[in-house]
Amino acid sequence: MTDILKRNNVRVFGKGTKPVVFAHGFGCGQQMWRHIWPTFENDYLIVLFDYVGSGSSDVNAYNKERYNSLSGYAEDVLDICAELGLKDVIFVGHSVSSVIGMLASIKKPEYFDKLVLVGPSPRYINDQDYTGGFEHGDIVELLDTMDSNYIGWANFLGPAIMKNPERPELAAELTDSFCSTDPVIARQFAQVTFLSDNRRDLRHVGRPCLILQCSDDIIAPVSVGHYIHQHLPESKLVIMEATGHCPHLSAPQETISQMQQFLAQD
Amino acid sequence: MVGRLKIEGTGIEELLTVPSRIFYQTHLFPLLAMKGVVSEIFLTLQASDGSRVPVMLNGKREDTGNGMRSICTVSTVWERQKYEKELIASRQQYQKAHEDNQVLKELTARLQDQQQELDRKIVELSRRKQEYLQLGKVLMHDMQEPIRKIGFYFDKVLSGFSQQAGSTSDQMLVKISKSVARLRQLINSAQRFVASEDEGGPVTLLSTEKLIRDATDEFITLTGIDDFELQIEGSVSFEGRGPVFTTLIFELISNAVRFRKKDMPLIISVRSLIVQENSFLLTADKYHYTDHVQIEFGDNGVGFEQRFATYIFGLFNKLESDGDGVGLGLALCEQIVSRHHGKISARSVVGSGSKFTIVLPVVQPKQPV
Repeated sequence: MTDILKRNNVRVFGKGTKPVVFAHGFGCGQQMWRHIWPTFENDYLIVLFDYVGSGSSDVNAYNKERYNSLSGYAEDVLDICAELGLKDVIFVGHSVSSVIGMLASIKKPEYFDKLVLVGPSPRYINDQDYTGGFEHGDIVELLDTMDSNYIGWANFLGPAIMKNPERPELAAELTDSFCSTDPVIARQFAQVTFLSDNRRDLRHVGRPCLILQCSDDIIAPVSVGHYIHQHLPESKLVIMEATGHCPHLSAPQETISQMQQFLAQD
Repeated sequence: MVGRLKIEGTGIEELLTVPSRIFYQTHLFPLLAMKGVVSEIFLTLQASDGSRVPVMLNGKREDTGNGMRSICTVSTVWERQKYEKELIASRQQYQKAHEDNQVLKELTARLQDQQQELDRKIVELSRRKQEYLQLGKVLMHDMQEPIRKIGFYFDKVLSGFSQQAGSTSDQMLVKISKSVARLRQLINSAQRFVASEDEGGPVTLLSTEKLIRDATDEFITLTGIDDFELQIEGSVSFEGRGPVFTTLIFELISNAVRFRKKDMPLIISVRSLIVQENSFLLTADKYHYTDHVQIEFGDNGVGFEQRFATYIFGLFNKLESDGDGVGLGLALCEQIVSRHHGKISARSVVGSGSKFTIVLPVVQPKQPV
């Protein structure tokens, strides 16, 4: 049997019973949420995890067929819900995890109560009547940029890690640097993330959603926030004062208070 | 380089090319915000004339007491970038050579197909085995019991007749005839279950909405029961054997009607959508996500306890609340869905209704020649 909790580096704590599952986006791990969860740990059951291949997950569990689709990532979420016996989850997903959470909630609605989508985008590349913000060439060049940034670590540290299993700090150093120990995994995650198209899935989401849209976010422009709001059956759109793509890091207070308002509604 | 005056007051992102902006938002900023320091990050600046400048960035972020401040230095890496590009290029060449190996690719593809085929065969075999086990159970137990009763009461009746005719022997005769009817029903159902394995005709393109309407019409014509409301949401085209799918929906409708609440109008709601699902059903660590149709069939009936969610799909398995039923309908449904390489599952809450979810491939795998 796969040990899901170890595989996904799952941490469960908090004094409440209602679960809040925090899901990190592309490029990092569960530590992205460290300014957010402390506010909720007295009233909720906090669940943190890393997707396989990210953070401190079990990289050996990475399966390039499974994670060649966001549905494979959605299975990570469903596996964790099943393993922990969660129900009525408040799912908080950043960036690509917003879509992963929506896919999971379509497949197994019984696990979910509400979704908080931080900087979501159902498609990053522009299409005929749709502005995602990027051209295909931009994504290809992003992959090159990632390659350039990983090559130093991969060539220098890669052999060192493989030869020194007794020195986990070498792996930790790489993990700390980019929240992912393997450039091939990061590259595939980037491809799956930025080349995905989940516009058709939006209308099937049957749970209330809060869209936290940053102003001036290059990765998920405001127009994308409006698009999602129009196509999700039950959603609330908040244009935040925070700028950039990571309000949970740059504006935790604003993020928290928007979440609190949404969670207080019934 | 970029003039000092021009960049003063602009956001750091505006100095970057679009891909570097993505990298900044997904990697560099989180790193800076969490660790307070970044080193040797490769980025590309976009000069005002549109030309691109490869740079290495080092930076730190600190609390000034008056808000956060990031201090970054950049230096051009024209030469280093050339060297790294060569490294990347050689790695990519290696990958390309690997991928261009057509023979290897074809072999891999064939292996993939065979693994898929094998997976289907294993599923089919284990299903067959289950069905035979079920049939064995039917023959061993379910069919034996009415026969045993017939024998028992018949003996009694016979010995009763030898003494004197009376009302008790009439009752016994009634029981015998009931058992005979039950036996006939069970045998017919078993026959139908076994026979349906081979029926169904060729695979054609079906539409969920049309199937639901056809099956509903058939149900109303056959039973005369039409006092329920049908809500259909969405329609998906998928491949399957038409007649058996009409049977599938028919059985789900009759199931919903049988378990309706007496004091409330029955509402059946059917939603169809497309999801991505792994087309490997059994083989561990094999994944191939393809379009699947997901049909959610819900009712507002009496429901059942969730612990019976798997049990109800077994042949001749029935819940106590089901008086007249044989326990064939849902077993048939399971058989039909399995034959189409899909899955059916049930969720229910006592008192508020049940939901059956069917997930199966939009395109049926080609039958091996």
